[in-house]
Amino acid sequence: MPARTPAECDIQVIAAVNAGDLETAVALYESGAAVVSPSGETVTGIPAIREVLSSFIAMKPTLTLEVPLVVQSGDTAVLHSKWALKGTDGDGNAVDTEGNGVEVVRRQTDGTWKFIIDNPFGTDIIGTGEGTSETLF
Amino acid sequence: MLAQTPADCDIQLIQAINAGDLETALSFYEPEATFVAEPGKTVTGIQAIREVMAGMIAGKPTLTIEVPFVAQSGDTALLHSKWTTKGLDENGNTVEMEGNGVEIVRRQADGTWKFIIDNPWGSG
Repeated sequence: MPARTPAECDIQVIAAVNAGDLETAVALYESGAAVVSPSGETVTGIPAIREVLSSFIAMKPTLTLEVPLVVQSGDTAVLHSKWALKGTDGDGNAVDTEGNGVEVVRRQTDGTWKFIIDNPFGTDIIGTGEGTSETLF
Repeated sequence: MLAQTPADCDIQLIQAINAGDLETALSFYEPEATFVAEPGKTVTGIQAIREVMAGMIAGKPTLTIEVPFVAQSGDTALLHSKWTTKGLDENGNTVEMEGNGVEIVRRQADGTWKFIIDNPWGSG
């Protein structure tokens, strides 16, 4: 499903990850998009994004998400998201975590929106806020 | 002064505000940039940003900023900043604040960078 509004990028990527649908999730990213991985590294391009999303989907997660703030300027918008994830890590242990994401999306020539920068960890990535590092899994 | 890197936008903007130099501060914004003046109050376009920025400069603030995180994709970059400010409110009382900003900057045709979205209040 293409995203018809900026916030739909977030909502639809979560729906696709919950459904285990990697291709639909990847289709919401521009070819040169950058994603901040759980390790804090920024990876760029669809093959690298596919790996990050695959690792999420492997957790068989149940994600929930809200997008409380969208700030738009022309064909670019920044989304602030609040998400929660329940799943299972590679060792079979339960994972229950939450975070505040910051995502940059851009309008495409067909009017739909795609991610250009996806930072699920928001400003927690810089070690501010409370208990930040524990929210990175 | 021009911003030669994404993070330069944040650093040079703060220098211009500290210097009381409104025109230089505004030169770091694209014409249709969006600025979050306060949580819940967003303004778009240089004229509106000029008003907000003039109000900030009137408080003669001393700002500091760090940009601990930059994520870039092609001609667009996301900055996460940590800032502090000391200044005076309209009644002459000292105001001290700090926050975490989220800024989106874009590379221009001349290779320099400008703000398209500036949200000093981050997700807060």
